[in-house]
Amino acid sequence: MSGFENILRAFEKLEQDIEEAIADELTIQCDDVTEQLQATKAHGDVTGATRASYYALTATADDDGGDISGPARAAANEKNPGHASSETIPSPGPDAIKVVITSGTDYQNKLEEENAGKKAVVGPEGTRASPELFEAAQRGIRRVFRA
Amino acid sequence: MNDINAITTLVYNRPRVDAEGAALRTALGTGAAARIIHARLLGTATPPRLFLALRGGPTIPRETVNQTHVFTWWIYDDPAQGYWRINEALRLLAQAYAARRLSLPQAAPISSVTLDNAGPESEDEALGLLFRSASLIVYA
Repeated sequence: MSGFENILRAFEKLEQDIEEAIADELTIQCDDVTEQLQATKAHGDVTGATRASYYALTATADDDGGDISGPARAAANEKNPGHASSETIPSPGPDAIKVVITSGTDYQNKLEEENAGKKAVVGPEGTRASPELFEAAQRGIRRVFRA
Repeated sequence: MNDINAITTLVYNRPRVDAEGAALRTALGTGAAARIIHARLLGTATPPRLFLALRGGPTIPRETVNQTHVFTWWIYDDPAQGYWRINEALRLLAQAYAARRLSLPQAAPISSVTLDNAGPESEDEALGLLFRSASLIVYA
């Protein structure tokens, strides 16, 4: 392998390490966001399905749409059968990582919008958590260069 | 942290009281001030249509002295009207904020206000009304 090819391989390895580190740090931060979502006081809960189905998840190009929303929909279906959302979340494109903040029920849109968002959870928490998630991605990058 | 009450008042008053909101109030028609409300009042009495409701959102720290304050305007109308008046109100609302920067009398002027992405045409089944929402981001 030529010197130039070695350099190319090194950059490819660096890119992969950065992506993995970002995904790791985002996954850790998403656990905290999930806790915040599920602890919401914005609305009540009859079956427990709404709270149980709030999730923040990190998705990479390896995840398909069904996998991304699977945990949230499964939690909704367990506690309130028949009210799990049928929507799946598109997988991110190649070389992309995304954080998904979602609910697995088929009535979350109503909670987010009715009465001027009186019982909204996903929107406000996504806004609140965005700087923390950005910092988590930055930690991932720093981790690679300090290793 | 800047006074959230003061910032909320500035945001609320721009369309409701300030000169920059006059065009919007004209578009709302008779009793315009009563058609611009805080969203918490929606449960007690629904204003005549067309009306606007403001709900405060999260305050997010940006730096040691500045924060990002998020507000959302919800614009409602009767289904028979479609979204025509809602869309025009949205345009005039954005124009009102763009016309003059908000300022806090006891602190540095608020650095930036943008009327962010407008939400899609939607229906509130609980209220029986059409609506669109628009987020307002205030850096202070």
